[in-house]
Amino acid sequence: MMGFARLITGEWLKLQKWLLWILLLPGPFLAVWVGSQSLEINAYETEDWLWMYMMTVQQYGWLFFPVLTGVFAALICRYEHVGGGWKHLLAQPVSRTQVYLAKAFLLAGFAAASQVILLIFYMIAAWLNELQDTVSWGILFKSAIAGWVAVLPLAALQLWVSFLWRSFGVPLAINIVLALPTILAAQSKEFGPFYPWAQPMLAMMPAGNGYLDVHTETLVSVILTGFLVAGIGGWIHFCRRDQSA
Amino acid sequence: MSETLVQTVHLTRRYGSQAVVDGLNLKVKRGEVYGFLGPNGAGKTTTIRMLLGLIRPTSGEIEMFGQPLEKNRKQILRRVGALVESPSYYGHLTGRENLEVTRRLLGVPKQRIDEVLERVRLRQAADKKVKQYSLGMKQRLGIALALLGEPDLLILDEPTNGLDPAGIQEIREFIVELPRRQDVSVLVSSHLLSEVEQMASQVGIIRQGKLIFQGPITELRKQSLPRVRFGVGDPVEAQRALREQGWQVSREEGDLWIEGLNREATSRVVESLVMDRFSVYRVEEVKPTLEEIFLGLTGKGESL
Repeated sequence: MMGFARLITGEWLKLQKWLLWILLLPGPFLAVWVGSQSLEINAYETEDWLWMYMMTVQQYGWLFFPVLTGVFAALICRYEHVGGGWKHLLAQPVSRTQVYLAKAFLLAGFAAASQVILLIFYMIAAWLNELQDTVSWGILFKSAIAGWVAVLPLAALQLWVSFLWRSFGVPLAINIVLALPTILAAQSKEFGPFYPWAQPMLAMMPAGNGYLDVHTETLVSVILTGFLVAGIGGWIHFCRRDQSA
Repeated sequence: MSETLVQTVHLTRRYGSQAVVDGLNLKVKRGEVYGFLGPNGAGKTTTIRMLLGLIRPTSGEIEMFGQPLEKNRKQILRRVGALVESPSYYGHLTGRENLEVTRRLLGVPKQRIDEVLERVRLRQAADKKVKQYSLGMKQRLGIALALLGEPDLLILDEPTNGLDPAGIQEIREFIVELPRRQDVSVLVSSHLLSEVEQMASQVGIIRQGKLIFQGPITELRKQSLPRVRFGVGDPVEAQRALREQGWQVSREEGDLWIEGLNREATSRVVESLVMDRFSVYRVEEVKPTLEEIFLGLTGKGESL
């Protein structure tokens, strides 16, 4: 356990903190900005705060959040890929499982940080639009946590790919291309929940507003299964593979 | 009888049907500098990666410090420092920060960083970003990283690759000192015999995945027979005449060469040459250099 804590602090040391901010801030900011601009076109007689949140989530959950986790996954593996670090790191007295978990732990942490930042930006926007008294915070927290959980299968998949792939740009491009159909996938009750890139958005949409009607049980079971497959698959592969690069 | 630090039994690694490492029985003892020698692509790096648990053997056993690597990987690696091929580093961090990342994994005290920086003379550059380091400095940082955990065994894969002559000399002297000054044993790989010769007490020579020699360098010298050179008039005819008598004669640069002649046989060759009225103006015993022995063992075309 001590070893794992030390591993995490070592990982933290490697990260360029300024880069974290550059990556973490724009997505939530743009999403909330679009959300607040959408207040003018609230045609569904939805409550303003909820409308603003839904429009925010639509941007954020559709593109920014899934792409961001992909970028983070690539980033936390990049330091090893670039400087030949894998062979050094894995020849240290640490188990590969610990290394995998340390990376996964950081990635999950960044995803959580992104949710927190989204909520903070949203609060600021709500306050600027004098909606702060109408906001139902419980729904927001639930949505943020649900989104975080829903992104974990995707994050595990992205981490798997990042371990294998040295390049930074190609997985990023693929990630964006695969995120785009979310806008279509999310319309489909049957297909949406099964599309990993659509899951964060579906999970974050406040329920019962008639916009989407995905069964929660379906989503939960798909997310759980996806997480187990991508997590265990990536973990076992990482532990077993040859480190010859 | 000193302790055996590394012992492999029939260590084999296949890629598809090709055995890159084939039935290797290595033995490295405490207090040795063991030179692991072979042409590029002979399987040195694959072997070293298996010793570090980076690659799994297809079959065979690895024991280090008397324990099976498979089971006690963490405890074993805690006692091993390694530099595999090109140095590993985080270019955006300083030398000191690089050491700190690894220090946290090893759980050694902070002062150890200054000690190893001092050892590899990187103190001046400790707070510069590693991407600004020269290759020699990166290599030295790699050695500092390997030394950080106060290992009992240092595994260095081609540590002088890409260094200038001064850097090579420096690393070499450094390695030679290790067993004496700090009781650190060393396994160092190289494709250059001349280099290993200056560092190692024991050598293992690998060719196409197989260990073709293992033992002290002095033993290697004894392995090959001296050749005798005959300077004669009309070497073409002389060669023909000697061959007719059953000698294995080769002709190089106008001289005749016969391998593995003892004194008596030499005199018989001279006698028969003289009897056939060839003029003999030089008879010379030529001992092959270690380099030639090495090339003979590993096959000329494959070296370098």
